[in-house]
Amino acid sequence: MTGVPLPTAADRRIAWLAALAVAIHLLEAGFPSPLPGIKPGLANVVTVASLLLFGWRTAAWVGLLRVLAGSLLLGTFLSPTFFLSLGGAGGSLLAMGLPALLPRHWTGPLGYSVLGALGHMGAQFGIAYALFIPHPGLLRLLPPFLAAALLFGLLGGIIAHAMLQFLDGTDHVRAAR
Amino acid sequence: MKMPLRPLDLPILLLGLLAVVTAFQRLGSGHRAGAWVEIRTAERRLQPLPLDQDRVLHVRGRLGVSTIEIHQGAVRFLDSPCHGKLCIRSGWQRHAGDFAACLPNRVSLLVRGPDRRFDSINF
Repeated sequence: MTGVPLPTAADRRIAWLAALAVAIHLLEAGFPSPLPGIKPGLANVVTVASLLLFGWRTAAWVGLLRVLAGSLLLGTFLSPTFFLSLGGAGGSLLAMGLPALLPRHWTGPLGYSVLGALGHMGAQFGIAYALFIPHPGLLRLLPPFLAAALLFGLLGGIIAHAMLQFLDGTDHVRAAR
Repeated sequence: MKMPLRPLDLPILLLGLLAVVTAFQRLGSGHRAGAWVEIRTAERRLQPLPLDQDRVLHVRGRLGVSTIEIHQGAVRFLDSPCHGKLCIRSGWQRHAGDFAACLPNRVSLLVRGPDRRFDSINF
């Protein structure tokens, strides 16, 4: 039979992880933020866990699919929000890609999560400044936003660690690795 | 719960902390001390006055004379012949960009500094 190739085990894994990330993304979008521009970014926990379990490529798929599917479900596809989200996910993946080049055991969930959060905020800020609000006043917001990113990066790292510990005991993950 | 740190975790954390501290230092909170004050009335604009020289001014407006005090780097309306006295209740103005006005008397003061600050940012 020719045509569409059957999904591989890796494809299914990415789909499951992305679905989990999308669910968290949607839940988080439903909660109002006390400060515009600041939210915990818990969906990144799934990206961090994917990276540590299956490598950067899987994490990149999960992160980008989350942005795409999340925006379609929220109705923000191709809107400014979408590009900010995409830029943030891209920045986060690039930042997390640096230590991913090094031996696997050198960096843990905390390091990846903090790097990802800061990369996310940095890229998002750059895009907001370049495309939407090219105003020096915007830079005043960078310090508190970066501080929030660091804090939520730490929180996400701790959650990712707990998630990985839980998963380590399951056969499914052991088999997949 | 025990949280084992990998070798690069702590350096990354410290690097992030450094980035945040640097951002705060370089970009600041946005509040810079003012250096001088510009006082305007409906008819004229007074010569800018330095905030480091204490003095009391009497400025004639539409209704009467507003009294403005400059003291230790800050400036305020001390008295004004208006009803609401909002200008007086605005209190001391000391940061670049701070502003107080007595609208009935058409007298306003604006603190200026070496770099300009935005009074509000909307997005």
